[in-house]
Amino acid sequence: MNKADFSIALIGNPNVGKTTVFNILTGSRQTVGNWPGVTVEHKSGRYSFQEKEFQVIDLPGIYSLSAVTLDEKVTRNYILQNKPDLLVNVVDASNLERNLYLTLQLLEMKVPVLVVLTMLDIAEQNQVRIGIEHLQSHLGCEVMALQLFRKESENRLREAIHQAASEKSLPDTNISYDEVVEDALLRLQFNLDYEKYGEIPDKRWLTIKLLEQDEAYLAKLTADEKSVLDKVVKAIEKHRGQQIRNVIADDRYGVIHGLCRDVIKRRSGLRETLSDRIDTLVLSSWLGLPLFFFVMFIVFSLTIKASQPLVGLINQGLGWLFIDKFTGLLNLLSAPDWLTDFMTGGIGGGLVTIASFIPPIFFIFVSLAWLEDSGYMARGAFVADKFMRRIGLPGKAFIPLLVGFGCTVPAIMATRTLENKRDRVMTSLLTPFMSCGAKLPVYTFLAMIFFPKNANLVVFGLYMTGILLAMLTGLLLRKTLFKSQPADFVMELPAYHLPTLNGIMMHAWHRLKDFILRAGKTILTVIVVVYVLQMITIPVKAKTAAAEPEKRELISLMEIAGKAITPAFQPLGIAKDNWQASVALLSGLFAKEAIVGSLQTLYVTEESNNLQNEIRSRFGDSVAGFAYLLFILLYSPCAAALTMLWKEHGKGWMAFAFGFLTLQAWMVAVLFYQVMQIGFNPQRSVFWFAVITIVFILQYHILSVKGKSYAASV
Amino acid sequence: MRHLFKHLRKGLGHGLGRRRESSCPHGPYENLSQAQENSTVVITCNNDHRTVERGLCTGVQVKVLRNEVDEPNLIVAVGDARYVLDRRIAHKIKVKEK
Repeated sequence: MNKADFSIALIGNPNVGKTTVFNILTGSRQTVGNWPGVTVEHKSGRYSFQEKEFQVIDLPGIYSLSAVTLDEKVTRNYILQNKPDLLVNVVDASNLERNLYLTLQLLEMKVPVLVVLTMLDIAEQNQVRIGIEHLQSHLGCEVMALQLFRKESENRLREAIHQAASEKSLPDTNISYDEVVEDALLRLQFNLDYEKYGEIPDKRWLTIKLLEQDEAYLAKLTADEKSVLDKVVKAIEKHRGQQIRNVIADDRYGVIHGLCRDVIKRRSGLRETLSDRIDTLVLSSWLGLPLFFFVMFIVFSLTIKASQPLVGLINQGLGWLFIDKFTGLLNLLSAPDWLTDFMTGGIGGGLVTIASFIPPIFFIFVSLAWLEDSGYMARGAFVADKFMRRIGLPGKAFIPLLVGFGCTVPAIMATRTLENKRDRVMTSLLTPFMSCGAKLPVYTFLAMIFFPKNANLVVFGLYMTGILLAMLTGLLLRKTLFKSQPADFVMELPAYHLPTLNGIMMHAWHRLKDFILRAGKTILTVIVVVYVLQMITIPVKAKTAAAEPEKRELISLMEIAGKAITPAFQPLGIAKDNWQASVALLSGLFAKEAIVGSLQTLYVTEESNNLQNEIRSRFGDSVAGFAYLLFILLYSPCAAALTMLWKEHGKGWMAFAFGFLTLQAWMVAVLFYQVMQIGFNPQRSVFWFAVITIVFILQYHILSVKGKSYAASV
Repeated sequence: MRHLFKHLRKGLGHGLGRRRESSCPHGPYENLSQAQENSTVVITCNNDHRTVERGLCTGVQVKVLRNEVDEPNLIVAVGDARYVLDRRIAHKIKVKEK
């Protein structure tokens, strides 16, 4: 790609329309990825204007440049290291005071800034009028008002960016602090050697950063410089009775309040907005919760119900293309059977599986974008926080959990809306408890066999058991591994506004592309590997009558593995000769719905062709059947979901999810089976109760110890 | 002796599970989490940098839009911004009535 003539970066608070400005400028010429080494989204795009090529970076939405959060660090490092030709500071005109805090920090950095005011319509609605020229003279940089989706205004924006990026003029405003701070700045400037910091945007800016105790710069100070700094900081803190960082922030707001009194004209003294009035209804104690569940119902319906027919179509269409037609083609080319199997069943089947995730992922991100852009997400998080906090999760975690009922893969992706890593990981670990769509056919199939009269009730009971166990596991994790509370948060309630279709679609499309490019490849590899393991067969000695000559038969690795693990399932009612049940569980790791297919194939024998009777008789009774269902409900999520865990949180958490969830499944299923069997074989039941108790205590202890080291590392 | 007694009393206070308020040189004001719903208060001391940077700085008026004791969060209005504020943070912000 040719080098752009100008590099510009969009910077601003969250929810100010920054991404809309980005979309307007770049259209479809965008790429989305991550900033190197961190999971902060990196969006860049390009556009041409007056024969010049502009590269645009959409920086993360931040409130300040203090470099405390990851987003702030990424943003500040980008500005300092990449030195863009222009920073376009998108400012919400309906909330000028708070937005100007970031602007002042940019002006202090002495970098080229263009302030773009958005949301003027909402400001107008709130009876607020801003003197733009007046604001421009105060800030000492170009300020323009942008009316979104008006061609003329959008062209003026491109023109203003072109001009400001060509001129690269630096802001000429000096922000004055309290006298005691100004004295300290002077004293420090006199005592500091700035050479060692290399190229810095401005000396005064760096001195302020040192006063603010910015760790990135403190380390380079000499002992003498440090002692001067400590002295002045102590004096300021004593004088103001506040920590130094807050003194600086307070003073910046002092400047902003003065400036706003000058440039803002309010026609009404009251600051009650339309959003406030809507909130009295939306957040009221009588409507808040029902409305929340209604919105969640819509999200669920859209994600799961609306995507179901599309998934069916994709499965049929792509199955026809990649499996049926591809098999035909390979047969025509006289390809060997193993190659045909591998290409169609492995790669073709894998592609169909990945494609079947596309509709739910697309719809969940449409829903999430709609919730975020309309302003309801923050309200929903507030409402759900009341009950989610009890299991140690923030309110926003409700959405991924809900999506888990459809598919765990988009559910894990949806945890990205949570700010804190602890919350993201904990929510991801609980999503598999919500029975995904692929488990439903398994439940129905087995419930019809073991409980033909009450199958519906049993399936409903399994869903409810999943929810109950998610809550109990949440409590367990909260007491042990994630001992800390959910992050204490300050969340903005943005003004309500109507989301744009274009914005929502762009957002959903980028997430989808990210899924296909990042996770899709790995999921495909995993599926192919599992498929190959299923295909590989080795010759073993067949059981034959003594009189007959010895025969060798081919059995798959999967079957050997299934037989090997069967003894572990004996305490939950799977007899040693019922190895088919264990093999089906292994195939469930491939995809949960594969359990049904496996059971159907494996239980058909020459002697019995009644599948249902065969399964029922091999399990012995319905108690063992239900214990098996409990295990299916709770054990490790499928390969695709595990891969998603790996991609989002790392290999360690993926391995933990696999082991932890499978162990919980085993404990719950064994406990259930042994409770039901206590009348028949009390000694054995008591033995297994003791084993479960010991395993649980051990698990609790290990999780607690790990929890301490995890808390220390976060 | 009186000095010792003072320490003892302090120690007992801790032993009975009473939480010491975070030190604020501006006096014994109530904290934001105790402010009445629909009341307007003025911040007298806030040492939580995150909220200071969002505009909850000393001398600023805060309107408490929602504060129900059984809820983990408050909703406050600061200028034109509306925030959901964790009760644990609100507990650390000292305020006085307007």
